[in-house]
Amino acid sequence: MNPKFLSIPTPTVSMVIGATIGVACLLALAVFLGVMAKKQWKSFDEYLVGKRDIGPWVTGLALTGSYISGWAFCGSTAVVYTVGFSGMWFAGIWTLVGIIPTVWLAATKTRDFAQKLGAATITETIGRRFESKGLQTLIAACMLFFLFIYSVGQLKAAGTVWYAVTGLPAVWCLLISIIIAWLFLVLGGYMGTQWFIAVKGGFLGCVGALLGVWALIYAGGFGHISDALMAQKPALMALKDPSLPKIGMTQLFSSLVGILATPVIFFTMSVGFPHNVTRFLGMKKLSRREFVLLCFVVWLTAGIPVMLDCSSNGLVARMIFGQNLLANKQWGADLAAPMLAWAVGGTGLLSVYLTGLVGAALGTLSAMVFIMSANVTRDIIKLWWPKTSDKSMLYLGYFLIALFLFLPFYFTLQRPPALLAIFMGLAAMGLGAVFFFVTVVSYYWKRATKLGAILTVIYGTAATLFGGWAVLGRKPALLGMGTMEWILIGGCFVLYFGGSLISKPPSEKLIGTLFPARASSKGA
Amino acid sequence: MQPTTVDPSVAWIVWGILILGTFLMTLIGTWLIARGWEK
Repeated sequence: MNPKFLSIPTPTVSMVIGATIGVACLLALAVFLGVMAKKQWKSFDEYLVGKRDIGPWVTGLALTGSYISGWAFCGSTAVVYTVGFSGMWFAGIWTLVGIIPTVWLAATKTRDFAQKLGAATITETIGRRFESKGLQTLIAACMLFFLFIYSVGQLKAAGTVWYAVTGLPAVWCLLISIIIAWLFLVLGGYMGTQWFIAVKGGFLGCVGALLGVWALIYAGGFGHISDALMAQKPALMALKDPSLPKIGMTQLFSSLVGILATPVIFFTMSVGFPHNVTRFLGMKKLSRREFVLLCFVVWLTAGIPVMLDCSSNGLVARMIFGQNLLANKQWGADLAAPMLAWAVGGTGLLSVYLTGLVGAALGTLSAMVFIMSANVTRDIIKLWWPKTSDKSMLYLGYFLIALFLFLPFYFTLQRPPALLAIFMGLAAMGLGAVFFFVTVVSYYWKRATKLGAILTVIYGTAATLFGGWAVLGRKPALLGMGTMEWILIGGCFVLYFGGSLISKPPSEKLIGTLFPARASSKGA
Repeated sequence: MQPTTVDPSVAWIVWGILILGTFLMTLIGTWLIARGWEK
């Protein structure tokens, strides 16, 4: 520990009480929303998608809530804390380049396609868009694979913040998290999840903006941050740090090939993430005014808070703590965000921030686990055995939610990832690359066929596995993460369009239903 | 390993351009889509 800088504080009674009250309120809110939402659904379909009557405020806040995950609030600050300004490219400075086009491209199309096709999940929407049960099953399996990997990081974030405040072992932090998530998922279904994530999104937007601005004021402005970090290590203030290796994860900070890949990563991730696009399934048909309001809500709550969180917050944390947080071998840099809240705002801001952070982890995790459960019940079992009763599907869904919460819980306990952002990076890239084409491009390109989609899913999954080995597993790394993104996106692009063009076009009936004449499709 | 020469003001200017640029992108893109909205 360097005595020039602050160290990780020992948990105090006031920190434990503050965090406990905050998380208790969060738990009570989750259960309350779950109970309220339980009155809203009466069938398995309504459990999965609600009544398609949700307005722009709840939809916009829920999109923010599903996108601002534990990674965005915890891992992104950790990246910049560790490597400095050059980390902001990967940490989330491109958030709006992803999340706003998600609204532009996917909001009304997802709603319209799902309604016209009578689909209750994104997987079902894609399967019917391509008139293929086999594709729907393949996509369900692919989503399960990617979302499982991605869900592990969410639990780590929840465990990290709980440990930071209470000092309790990780097993208790994670167990509390999954019990909360299971309760409101089972009670509230889609509506309960949407409401909880929306409240969380609004809360995080406020708290994130508050902490970001507060940290800048506390640090004394941009000049003071620059001076302090230049004194520590000048490379911390470089937009590109060529001293870091140009292969492996650090390519995103050290090379132009890596840095140029980051906006592409954020665009495809946000537009392609099934748990983001799923937020539009239960949306009402929007007027022009409501569409503008939806864009504004997302910009307000996901824009500035995340951009500060992924840049200046990490720098101010480094300015205050030096390298002292890295001395904690279990959680390390992931403590940068909660410790920054404690340093600038004391116990009060820490409690509020941690409540939001636990909510962030739980909300995004819940959105993913809900999709994973529906992947099995609706997209595989109900698809192939349609006579299975709704009651059986519901009970199976409850069990699967518990299972899919437990598996990452166990995996996280047995082998905690070294750095949240690094672990999750490749799964998120694969998920984005595959589903950007298979979902959103398919809304606009009527010539897209199931062969193109199948090739994209198979290639994207295989390339992600290869990338995991080549970028993160092999020592030394074979490829940079940015290079891997170009390989992923380039391959998906060629196979999606090439595979579609060499195969038979979709049926005229489908085209007529989904792609009506120009005059009547304006505004979509 | 290359020596790193750093001008911190460049980093903050680029950072400011990104914040302002994404705001303008949101504003202009939303306006363009809203213009063509079905009545």
